[in-house]
Amino acid sequence: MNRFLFAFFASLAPFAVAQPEPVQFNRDIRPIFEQSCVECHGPEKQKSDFRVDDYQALLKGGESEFPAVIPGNPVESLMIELIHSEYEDERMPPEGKAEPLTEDQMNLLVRWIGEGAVWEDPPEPTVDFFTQVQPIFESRCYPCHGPEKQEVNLRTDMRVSLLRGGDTGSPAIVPGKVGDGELLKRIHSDDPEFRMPREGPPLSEEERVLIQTWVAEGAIWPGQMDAVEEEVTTDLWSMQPIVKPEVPDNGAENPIDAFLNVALGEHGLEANAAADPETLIRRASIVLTGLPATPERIEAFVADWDRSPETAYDALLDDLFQSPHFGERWAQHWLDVIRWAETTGYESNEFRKNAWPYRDYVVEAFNADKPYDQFIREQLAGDQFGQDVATGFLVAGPHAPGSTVGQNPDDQAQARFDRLDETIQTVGSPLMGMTMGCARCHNHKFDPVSIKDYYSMAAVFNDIEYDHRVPKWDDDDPRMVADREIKQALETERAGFEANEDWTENWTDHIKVQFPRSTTRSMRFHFKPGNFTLDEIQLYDTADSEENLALSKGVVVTTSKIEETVSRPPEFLVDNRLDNFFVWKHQTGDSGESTPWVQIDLPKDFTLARADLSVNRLAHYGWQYMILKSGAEVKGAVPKSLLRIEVLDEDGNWQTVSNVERERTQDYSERVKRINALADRHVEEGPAPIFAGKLIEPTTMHVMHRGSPISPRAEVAPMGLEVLEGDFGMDSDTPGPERRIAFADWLTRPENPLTARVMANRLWYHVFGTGIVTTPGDFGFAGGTPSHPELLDWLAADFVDGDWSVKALLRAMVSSDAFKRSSAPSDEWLAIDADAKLLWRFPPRWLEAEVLRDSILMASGSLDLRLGGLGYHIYTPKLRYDQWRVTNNYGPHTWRRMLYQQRMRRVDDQMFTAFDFPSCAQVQSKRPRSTTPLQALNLMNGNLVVEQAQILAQRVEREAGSGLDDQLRLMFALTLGRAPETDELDVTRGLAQSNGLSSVARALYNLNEFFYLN
Amino acid sequence: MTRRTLFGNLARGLGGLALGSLLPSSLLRGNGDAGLGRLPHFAPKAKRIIYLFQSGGPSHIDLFDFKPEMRALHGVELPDSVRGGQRVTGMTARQDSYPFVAPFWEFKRCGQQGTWISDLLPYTQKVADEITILRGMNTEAINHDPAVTYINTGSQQMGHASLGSWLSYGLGSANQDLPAYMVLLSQGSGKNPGQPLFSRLWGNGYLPSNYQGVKLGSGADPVYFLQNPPGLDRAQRRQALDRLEALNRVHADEVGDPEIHARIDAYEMAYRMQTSVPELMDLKDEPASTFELYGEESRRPGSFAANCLLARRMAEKGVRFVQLFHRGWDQHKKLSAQLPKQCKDIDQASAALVMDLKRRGLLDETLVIWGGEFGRTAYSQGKLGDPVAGRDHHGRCFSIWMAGGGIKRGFDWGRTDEWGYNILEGGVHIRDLNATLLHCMGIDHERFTFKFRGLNQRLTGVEEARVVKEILA
Repeated sequence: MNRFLFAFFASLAPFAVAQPEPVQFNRDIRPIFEQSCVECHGPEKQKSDFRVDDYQALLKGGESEFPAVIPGNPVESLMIELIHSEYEDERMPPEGKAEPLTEDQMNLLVRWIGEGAVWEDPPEPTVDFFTQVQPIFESRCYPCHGPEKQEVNLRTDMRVSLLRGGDTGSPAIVPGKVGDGELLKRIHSDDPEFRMPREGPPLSEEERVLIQTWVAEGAIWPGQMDAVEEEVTTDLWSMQPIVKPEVPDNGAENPIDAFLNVALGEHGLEANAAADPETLIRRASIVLTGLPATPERIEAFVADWDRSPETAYDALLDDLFQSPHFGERWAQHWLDVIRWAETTGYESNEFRKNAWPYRDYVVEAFNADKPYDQFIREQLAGDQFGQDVATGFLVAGPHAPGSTVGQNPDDQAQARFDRLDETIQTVGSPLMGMTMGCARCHNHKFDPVSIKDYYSMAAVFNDIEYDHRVPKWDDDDPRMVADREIKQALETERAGFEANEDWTENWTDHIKVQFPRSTTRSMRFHFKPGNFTLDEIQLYDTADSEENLALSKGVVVTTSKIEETVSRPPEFLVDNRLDNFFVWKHQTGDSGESTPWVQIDLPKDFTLARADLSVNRLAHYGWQYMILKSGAEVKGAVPKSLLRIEVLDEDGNWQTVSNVERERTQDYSERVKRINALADRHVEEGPAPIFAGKLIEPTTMHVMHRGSPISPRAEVAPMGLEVLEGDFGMDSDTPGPERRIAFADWLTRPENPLTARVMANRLWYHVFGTGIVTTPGDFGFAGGTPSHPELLDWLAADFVDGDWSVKALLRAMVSSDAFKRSSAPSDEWLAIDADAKLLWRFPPRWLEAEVLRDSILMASGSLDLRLGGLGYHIYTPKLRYDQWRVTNNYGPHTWRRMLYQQRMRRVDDQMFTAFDFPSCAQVQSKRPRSTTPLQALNLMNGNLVVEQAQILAQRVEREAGSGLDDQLRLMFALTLGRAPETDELDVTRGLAQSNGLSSVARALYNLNEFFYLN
Repeated sequence: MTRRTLFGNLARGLGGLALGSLLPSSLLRGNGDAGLGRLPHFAPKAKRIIYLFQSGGPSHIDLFDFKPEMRALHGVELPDSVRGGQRVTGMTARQDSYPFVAPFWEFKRCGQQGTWISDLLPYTQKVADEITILRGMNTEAINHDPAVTYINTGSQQMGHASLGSWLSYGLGSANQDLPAYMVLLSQGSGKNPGQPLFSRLWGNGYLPSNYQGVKLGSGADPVYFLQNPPGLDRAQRRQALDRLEALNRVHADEVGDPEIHARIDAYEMAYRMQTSVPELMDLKDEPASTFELYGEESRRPGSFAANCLLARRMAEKGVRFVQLFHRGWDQHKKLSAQLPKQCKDIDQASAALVMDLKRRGLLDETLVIWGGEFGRTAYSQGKLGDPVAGRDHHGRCFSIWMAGGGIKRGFDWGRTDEWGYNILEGGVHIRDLNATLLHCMGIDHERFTFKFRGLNQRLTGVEEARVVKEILA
């Protein structure tokens, strides 16, 4: 019992005397419970094991085991204490859950308990549904929302439908609550656009009262009180359960062939014989690793093949699956699908520093054959599985940085939902084969995805923000070792200061102002006169604490002159966001007077010992390759204007705790220098933030009517798709990481019909060039249907049975006769199956940009095959809002696999963009394949090809001896993986003699055969 | 037949070619230069098209579709009977009020027929006598991507062939040295960045891929790597290409993929572009009066004005279809601030193009189209009078103009209601527009088909489309 309550009851005594009429439960108290309590403590939920709709429960209390209500004794009743609590985190009802109780309501509750807490059962209903309400529905509502027609999916002939509401997700009625529900709002409205019924005159006053009373009394509808909604079902093929089909018994060894042969037979097609070994090794090497085989490997393979084709091929596959370049190849496909890139996109298109560790994570995952279900779990919730980097997946798409959005709250809400939408797209199409985007504004037109599903998914990912995060590394990671070592050294140095000393440490992107521990509710920061900017102020209670107390609820920021807040509110000084920088700009006004200060008022007394101040942390943490107008590189900067910090003491006086200008001893200065050196070291060697998404506190999610974030409707829980039993039994209070884990579990449970099918098809697409479903990113009604449905199901089931091993599934595919077939054309079969969808031949196809580039470099011997790390950069550094411009896209620093070319959104790399290298703006499950004269020009005259042709010529001169024919033979082997025919040798010899060997190299680089997979 | 035997035959031919002579041009299979042979179906009015596509949805009501009575309606709530159940985008569907906003700017009666054109377009006002304004354009699509895809490829779904690729497929190129279909992009200053543009808008869809549009870069260097590497002259390049082509044809027969022929053709076109593109881009021969006509902005590579000038130069060289895409017309917000900038980008140069073609005697045989994928709502998006307010997408009616090649001069077609919201007469669906464009080029849209997935695909789709005879000269 606190002081406040005593005071309250003291004031109450005379009041009670003046109010003789006793409190009546049904009239006075029940409405308060229903309005403010039952949602969390009622029939649906019993938070803290407590409910107010049952008298015994009130008397017994909840999990605290203190009675909520003690008849006659309001002072001891927990309920009364909690509604008056001065601590926000325990006050009932909690902020955001219901409107705060009014003083009158609180008084009523106190008096009700004081008068003995007399309970009354709910009153008998006065309205009869069948005779009084249903006739109104029948005549006025049924025409549009009844048995015949269900506009917006609402029907007034079913209570469950009214409870659920129409497409907006907000209920039409909420029994007992006349303030909620669309139906009452609409029948009372006089806006003709909003009012219901829309046709004919409004309902009469009498009719409206009847319906309202019926709702108030619990919307009693005899016969339908226990009705439950029919389960959402669908006949969409991809959502039907996967049943592993029997493998057809037709003599084929590989089940894949068994299925394919059935279809071939049905169409009367005869399959090609196996390809020759040279073709086969090129095909398998490129499909699996993205690199052609070396001449030596080809030679060995052909020799092995002559002895035993099976053994030779098996050994080849062993090599390829164990190659570290396998992971690079499949990472390339994966990054395409999720449009991962290292710039933000949008107008500023800033480089995302330290996004690349996610790329390396993907490479390693494929190399290690990480089970696909685990791969998904880590990408959705790696922060919970010791795989922090993996959540780079969730922020793979583009985003408009907060600093480019402006301060209008509507714009900010819109931008936040745009970012969430990108995450939903990243999950939807790549993992689920569902295009979720449509459902942002309305139920999906084709697919069983509702607007509620969309926002339920938004709730799942609502704790992720597009930002950097310091990952948790293993304890023995060098970064963590450095971290511990340096922190230890810092502690020692800091301990060397005199007690009550203050000092300022320089941490590259911020200053740490250390001062004697002080308990206060207010701090002031004084700055030197003149222009300067601030980004963030963080407050801590020790020299090395990481809990920023300035983020506490109820912190208020004021500044010397509100006009000095240029474009951003001062609260942004404590918003904990990297991308809201330069928040507070102090500018000397016309008067020339300038005494800048910032004051932070805390909600209660805090003990503080340190303040961190920064100007633009993003410059250091988040940006790379960015310059200022002066041409200087944008680097971390620290505020240099701080003069002193004051705290307010108990007596209301300002006490200076840190004074930058005070004279210091040499000893002191040297100690600060040593600390700053340690800080520099920590920035270099310690754990740096990576772009893998920041974890934030999830807000309550609502269906946003027509996609507008300022039109929230019904609250939604974090869920997967309803049609696939996606209810995890969670609510808005479930912590974010648990939501993501639950969603990942739901995606990867074996019964989920989409996940395995989508991935099996995707792998098939990359192996054979066409998917069994031709739209690998859309398994909905607007997408394709499987050409071989049984095969797809068998693959999907086998994938799950094989513990989601990607390598095992791929191995089954590339071991099939279908994969090994020659790609020779046949006029007869082309007429029946031009695209070779039935795989009577291996369908030939163009290579991707990456394979082309890597092959050019590999043939010349220039390719550096080192794995991972920061990618190579081919652009000039740019101003923040400038375009990226290519500076050098061919020099030695670029001689790595193209996977390591930094992926920039919507930027022309002046070479491979013409070869359909993706712009990474949209989720792209397939690359288009275009043929244009621009490609020809790039390959004929581009710097890369011209230079590499010279290097290739030098290489063969060096390695093949002095005979021209030997040199040409080696050049054919290095580029095409085969020996030249006699006449080819004749022709290229002529070319070499007239134009030099490098001309031959250029010709070979331009050959269709070089650019083709057959 | 194996490569070994085939190669023997071809290698002999190869030796002959290696002597260094250029192939006779009749043997060169250019970017569709042969066409289908049986086209056109009838004598065309236009030999080529320049399509000034305005991406984002220009506000018809602020630019072309004006009635004096609109002034009195300003602020009046749009009656339900007018709006009647229209599908609107998520951006305004939540509004509880839909007040009519009169055009933000004054209009003038222009030309002999006294047609209304906004003061935002002073140069366009001056060419009123040369153009036909269509005020009854309409489309079902209400969002950019489907709408732009629809008007350019005849379908809201991806994967269909674009208008330009149909034309280059059907009619081939009139110039061996440049692609039949060229695309130029520019970013407007109204809304930056505008909606993204995808290559499928000028893609070949199911047509062979050598018919897709060739997009030039929008910087000073629109095509990279036109120069041969040092030490290689043009004759040697020709030799090298001949060898390459012969080698490639062997591979083509081995693989049996029509795309291989497309790539061989692409090399030939690339070879010719090495000389034709520098000629095209070299503006030294343009007199100062050209830049006066198109405006100073036309000196800035990548600007809309510079692209208009390039379009004229391409037209002179016989490029079949030039398509400019100018982004930034999506004025949901700040329309009053954005639209003047956006108009300034395009007004002078669009009008200049018409005048320039005319004085060169090319307008009669060149069809110029100016227009976007849809219009904008008559009602305010956001609060009436708020400087942040704009207009939402509107597909029920919008305005475009056309000039030259077979189109009436100084003519109006189509009329909307006093709100500029619904069409009263003279409605032209975008299918009808495409049918009319094909008609001007001498093609019957119903007979111009390509068999794909068992269907006879056509640009105008399966629904009925009508040639707008009324606007034909």
